[in-house]
Amino acid sequence: MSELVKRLSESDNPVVLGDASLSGAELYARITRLRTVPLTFPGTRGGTTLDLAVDAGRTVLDTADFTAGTGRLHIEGTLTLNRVPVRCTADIDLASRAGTGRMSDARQARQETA
Amino acid sequence: MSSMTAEAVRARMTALFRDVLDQPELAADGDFFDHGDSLLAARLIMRVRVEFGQEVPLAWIFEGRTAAALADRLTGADTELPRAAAPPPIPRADGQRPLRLSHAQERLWFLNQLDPDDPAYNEPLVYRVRGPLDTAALRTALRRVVDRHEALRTTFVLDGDAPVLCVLEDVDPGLDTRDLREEYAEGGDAWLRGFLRAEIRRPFDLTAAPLVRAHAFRLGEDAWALLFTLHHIATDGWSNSLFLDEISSGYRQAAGPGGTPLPEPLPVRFSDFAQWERDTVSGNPESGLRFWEEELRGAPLAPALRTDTPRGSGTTTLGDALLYDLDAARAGRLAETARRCGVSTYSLSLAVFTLLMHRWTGEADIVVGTPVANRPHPDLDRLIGFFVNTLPVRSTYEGRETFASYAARIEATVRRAVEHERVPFDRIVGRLGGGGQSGHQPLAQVVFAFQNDFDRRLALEGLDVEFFPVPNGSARFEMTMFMAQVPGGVIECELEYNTDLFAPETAERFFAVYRTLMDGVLDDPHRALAEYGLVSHDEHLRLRGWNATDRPFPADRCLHELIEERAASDPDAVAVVHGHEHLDYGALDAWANRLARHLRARGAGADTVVGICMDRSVEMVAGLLGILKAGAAYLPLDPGSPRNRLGTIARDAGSHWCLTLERHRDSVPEVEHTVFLDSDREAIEAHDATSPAAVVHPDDLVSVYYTSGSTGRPKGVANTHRGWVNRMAFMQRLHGLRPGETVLHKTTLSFDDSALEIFWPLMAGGRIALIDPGLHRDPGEILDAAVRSRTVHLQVVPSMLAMMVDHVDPGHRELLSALRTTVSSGEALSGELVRRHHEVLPGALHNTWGATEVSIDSTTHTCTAADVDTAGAVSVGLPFDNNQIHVLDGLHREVPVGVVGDLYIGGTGLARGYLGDPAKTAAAFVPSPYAPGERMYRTGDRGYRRPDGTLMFVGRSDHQVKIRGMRVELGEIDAVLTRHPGVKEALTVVQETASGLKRLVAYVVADGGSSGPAPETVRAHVAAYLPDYMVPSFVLLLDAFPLTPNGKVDRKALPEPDRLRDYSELAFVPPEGPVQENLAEIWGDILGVDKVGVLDNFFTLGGHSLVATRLVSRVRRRFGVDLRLQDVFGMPTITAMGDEVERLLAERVNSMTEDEVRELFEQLGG
Repeated sequence: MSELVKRLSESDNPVVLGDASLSGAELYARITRLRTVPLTFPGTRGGTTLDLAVDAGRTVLDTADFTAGTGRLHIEGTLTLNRVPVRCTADIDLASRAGTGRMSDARQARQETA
Repeated sequence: MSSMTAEAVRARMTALFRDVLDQPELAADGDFFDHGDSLLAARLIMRVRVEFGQEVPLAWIFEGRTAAALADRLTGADTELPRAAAPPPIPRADGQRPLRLSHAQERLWFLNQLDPDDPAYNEPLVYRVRGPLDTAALRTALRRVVDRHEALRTTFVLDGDAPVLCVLEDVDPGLDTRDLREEYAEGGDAWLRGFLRAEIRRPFDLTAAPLVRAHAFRLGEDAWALLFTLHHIATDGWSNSLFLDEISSGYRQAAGPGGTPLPEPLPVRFSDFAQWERDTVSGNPESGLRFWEEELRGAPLAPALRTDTPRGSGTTTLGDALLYDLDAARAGRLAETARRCGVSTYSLSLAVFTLLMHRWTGEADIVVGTPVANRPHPDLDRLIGFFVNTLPVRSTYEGRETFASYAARIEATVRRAVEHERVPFDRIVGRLGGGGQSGHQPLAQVVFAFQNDFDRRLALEGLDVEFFPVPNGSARFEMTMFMAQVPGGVIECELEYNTDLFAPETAERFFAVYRTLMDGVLDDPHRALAEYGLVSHDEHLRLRGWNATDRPFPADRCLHELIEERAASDPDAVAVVHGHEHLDYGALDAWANRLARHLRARGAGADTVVGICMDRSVEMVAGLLGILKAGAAYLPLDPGSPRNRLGTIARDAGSHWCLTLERHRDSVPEVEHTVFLDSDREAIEAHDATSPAAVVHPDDLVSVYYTSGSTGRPKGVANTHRGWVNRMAFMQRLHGLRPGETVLHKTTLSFDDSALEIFWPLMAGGRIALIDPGLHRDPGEILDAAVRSRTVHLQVVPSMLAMMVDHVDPGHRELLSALRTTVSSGEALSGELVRRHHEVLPGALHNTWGATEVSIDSTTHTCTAADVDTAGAVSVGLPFDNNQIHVLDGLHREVPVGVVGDLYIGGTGLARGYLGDPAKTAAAFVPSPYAPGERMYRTGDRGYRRPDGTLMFVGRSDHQVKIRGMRVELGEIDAVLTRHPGVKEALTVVQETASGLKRLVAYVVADGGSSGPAPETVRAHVAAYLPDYMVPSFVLLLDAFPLTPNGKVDRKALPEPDRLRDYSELAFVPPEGPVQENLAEIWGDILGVDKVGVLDNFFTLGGHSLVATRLVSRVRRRFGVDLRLQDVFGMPTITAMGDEVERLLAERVNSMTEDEVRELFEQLGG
């Protein structure tokens, strides 16, 4: 398994959703329409920016006001990092775009589910 | 003459020389051509024939050059020469018949109809006078001149649909006298010039006489400004001298005690000349026209000068002038040099001018106009009127010819032209088919006038009179160089230029280069034409400044080493994204290390070449880095290209290794070691993940890109790490990619721009987002990928950019907020595309230019709103970091700003050359005269510098073209075509559609006896050897190629695919409805054509400007509506013109009674 995936799977890590130039409206469009959103783990060596394939069924936006840019959201999605399919979850404060997130090996998660 | 002694003949001849040249002191052995030219020589010979009654050939004056020599030859040859009959007098025009205009007048009258307010043909004569001016005497003198010369009291009126002369008697021109002392005291000379210019530019009404205006403006107690403005339709340079002379003598008589007698009565009137000209020239025009037809066969009709502002649909005459004096010393050297070359001062000056035109435009065949007095009868010598004719002087350029030989050739050309000077310029244009084109003057847009017969002196008894030049703010041609010998030996030079077309700086440079060329010729007239420098010392310094691009970059590092540094410092940063698949720098580096070790174990290393045959994928990025880490260079092999071609390339590059994927197994060429990154994964991963630490030097090979080769064989460009590191370092300096930011990688690996999308982000710690294979041609997919990846940078060819901007919708725009820069490269970028980009895409647009041979690009330009108005391609900017651009002539010397030359690139980015092909390398990478010991690359592109140093691309010097940004040597396609068994000869050309789409059209001649292969078979054959962008869209079978007179294929005569279809449709479409039918009838009548179709073009059927005025007149009579003359040019078909007439009719009908409407329609037959 990738050492990076392992590290990001061990505990919650700081995350940033998108960046400062991403407006609330654009962020909302990316989550709901494109179903792809950039999520960065800034604490890694060099920072790791991932394009998360949003899992709409497990993503919670009700608690966020994208127009006002306030509230919190829970986001979940999948991606492959260094050939390892992973699931990513993050809880974000919309105003700062910062929050915590972690990874899990999607194969293990599937096995556990099975 | 037989009764005259030799001494008397010599004396008389000397007197004639003095008179014609206006050189009262000329000695019998004085050289005619120190003062005169071929045009004056013709006049002299005319006088000699009359004087001595002998048929003297014009050539004698060129051979003898002095009065003494001509006299001796005449007396020696007395018995051998035929007697010259005294020219019959010009008959008096029949006053009972309408008086026709002269040909030259007809042309001016027509121009006046086009724009009656245009002051371009107002001729000003302005003088400053000090002393007690007698205004009454001046008025009397003026009246006397107008009484004497009917041209000044003639009006131009319509007789039916043709203009005729109407000569008025008893016309008082008057003298407008005004006191401007207050205004002048306040504004000084600057105000005065502006005031006079406004007065000069006041339009003349050609239906009212006189066509001269006279003013005496009082500027001080005894200070005056005199202004005479004459319309050119009544005068010319020679006539102006007569006018001034007669004003001078008239004033003397009127103001003085009556000392000077009245001049002798004139033997003819201008109307007599006009009729005589028509009877003698128009009555038998064929021999003269045949001469001109032969002289100008194949001559370019389009303008040679590139303008700063695009030519519009009509010609404009706004102008300005620059003045410069050749001092007496240089003028003396000019005369001396001309004498040494055996030509006249005029011919030498003209030859320098035509040489300037060749060198400035890069055209080997040009036409320059030159005015001739056109007074072919002695009785016309003292007559005021518009006689002057313009002769086209054609010049061809061959760089090895010496200037002296060239000047002699020019003189011979002028001499031939003078023999046929009476053929009106318009008739020549009409015969050559250049009439009716709008946007520029036909045939000669540039004129050279050497005015040694134009004396602008005005002598008013008792007054101090000084010529005060005030240009009238017009330019009749695009550029006109006037040179005039004035008393004191000085030659006044004036460059008049059209300010709607040229910036003042351009005119100044043009003028400066003329002087530089002239200096070179005066220094040594026996050098080859190509050897004369065009660039002055100051200009050299300026050019050098634009190449001062030295800038530090990691010159001691290799490309992969800089990426390794990123991997070491930021191993967890994402390096590559493909969809939702990510690879971080650490993993990429480890993978590439293992692969490098795998390759090294199989013999790959420094300066070996490893093929990479795979489409866009994470594996491809790892593969590229692995090759570099192994110390080798990568060789892109597009799996979409025919295997034949890939095999040829791999063999040519000497590549024994190829990286690929299982899905490309059928495409990959046969090499010794094929490594499948997917199915060989286990073996690769068995290697250690640390760097193999291969020893690689910045001068080692980094890549080998194959480009199309003109001889049918592609050539491999061997680039080095140093050049590419410099290129990527510049990318980072200009665009400043931040870690974590994304660059979309969408370009096919075999196109070198892809390297920018891959290596630059990896060096900067950015992310590469890959678009799926096969989607890079879909603008919608590219936009979607840019949106999804939040790319900050796009690298596109203009043809793709054009499609993308058409595809952008509000949804895209909302989500492209990260996009900061778009870089256009590979093809010319149009101003229109810049506009569209600015409208729909965020961020800056940069235009770059360069070549794979010099590490992808070497210049850059950030597009601005100013580029939107650029006609054609926008600038490619200035050379960037450690690149030098040279715009050179055929001898590798810099050409001045504004002059088109061959574009060369030097600097750090230079490739080693073409792999394994020293001959091609030596031909393209030549020693640099600007950096001893270094080389420069001959791009094959042509272009020029703008005044700010930025470069403009204008085309190719060969048949290389760009299709979708890819270089295509048409010769390579031809070579493949002729390999088809059914094809004997082939020629491929690029055709651009109206929408700007480029397509390849192959013309093939079938092998003997066969009926020819089916076009589809031929296309399939090409597709088996060449990539898809090199497969012709059309294959047209011809029986034989059309040939030029030189036996070369006449590319212009090749049928266009569209036009083949159009021709069949365009056969004949009959007019429908009363308007079209009536118009067709009028056209047929005035053009002498039986059958006029509604799609026929007025000018193709033989229409020209004058016929157009008739058409307007006939339309007015038939329909009662005023069609504008400009409409005939803008709507030259029955269909278009009919629509306009119907629109005008509808307006008219609205204001008519029912009866009037009925009558009109009955008249129209509707």
